[in-house]
Amino acid sequence: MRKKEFLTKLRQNLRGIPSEEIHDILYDFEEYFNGGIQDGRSEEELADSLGNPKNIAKQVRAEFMVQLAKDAPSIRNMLNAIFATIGPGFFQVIGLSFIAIGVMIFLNQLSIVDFSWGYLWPIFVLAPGVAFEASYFTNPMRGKTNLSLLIPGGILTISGVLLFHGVYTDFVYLARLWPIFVLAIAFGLFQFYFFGSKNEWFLLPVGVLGAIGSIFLVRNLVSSQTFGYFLGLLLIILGLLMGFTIQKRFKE
Amino acid sequence: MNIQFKKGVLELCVLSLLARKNYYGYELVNDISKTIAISEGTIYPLLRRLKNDGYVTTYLQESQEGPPRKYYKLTPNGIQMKDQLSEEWYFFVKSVNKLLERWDDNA
Repeated sequence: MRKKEFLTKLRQNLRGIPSEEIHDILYDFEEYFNGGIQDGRSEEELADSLGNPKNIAKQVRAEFMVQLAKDAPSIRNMLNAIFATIGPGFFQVIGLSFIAIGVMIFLNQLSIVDFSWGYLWPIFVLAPGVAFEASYFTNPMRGKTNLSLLIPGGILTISGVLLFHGVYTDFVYLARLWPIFVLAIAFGLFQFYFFGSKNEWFLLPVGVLGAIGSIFLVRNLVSSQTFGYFLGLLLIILGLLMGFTIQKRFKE
Repeated sequence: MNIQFKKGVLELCVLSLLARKNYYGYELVNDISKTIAISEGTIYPLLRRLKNDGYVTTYLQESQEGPPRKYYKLTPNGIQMKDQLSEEWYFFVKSVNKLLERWDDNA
């Protein structure tokens, strides 16, 4: 990418913030290019070391919108701030699910498929879930603004898949698969821990819910004899782990 | 190096460079990227935030080569912020080092 292309892309993606601000930002980057060229560096090389202009613009926009919402907290400014900090993936997923529902309704009118909300309602659980996940992973300021979306994201995504499976199987398996809902909560919390907070205390609910979920899932899926072995083994391992870690703690 | 680490210390690096002298953008970005490998473009949004928060100001100064350059300068608030951040940094590094050394001794 050359200087002109870089600056054009930057300007295009800064739309929505006052033109004097845009002018100010472009001045900085133009100056950067001029300085680099005087140092004998090529335009391509300079653009490379700056990084993606789209991401830079999104970061600037997001910060501007958040600042604006803080200075003048109107509903409009707050919505702008939310939209600026949410990853574009959010809207793509919501858009895709609209398309999916639209196509189904169309095909129903043409009597090609038998469309009924009875088979489609879990999309209202799954789509927000996937959208929250996508919002986090496509966000320009990743990890800063919308980490907490990963909690409902994980819970809703897994629950949505399970519910879809349910409506197509008349919920006969749900009597056995229900512990997956518990695991979904553990998963959502684990994502929050793993991608951001790294606060060890989050592992406590993750561990407890994960253990409860897995114990009941295994119990529901295998014969009672196999389950006996599983539970016995699990408790022995847990006991050993606890004994050793606590012993280690006391030693120090 | 971990990207979150870099982002966290970037602000401190910018503030402490500016505490030594006033920089114009290209010069500042260049100096920082010598020490920390980071997409240089991300320093500009940071500079804007520091300006909005009142830690730095800018002024234009004529240059022999081309258009006037935009210089960044610390405000009294910025100097205070820099002192506070670097104090926190030294304390943090000291504690982490202590912890790492203890770990190594045990191994």
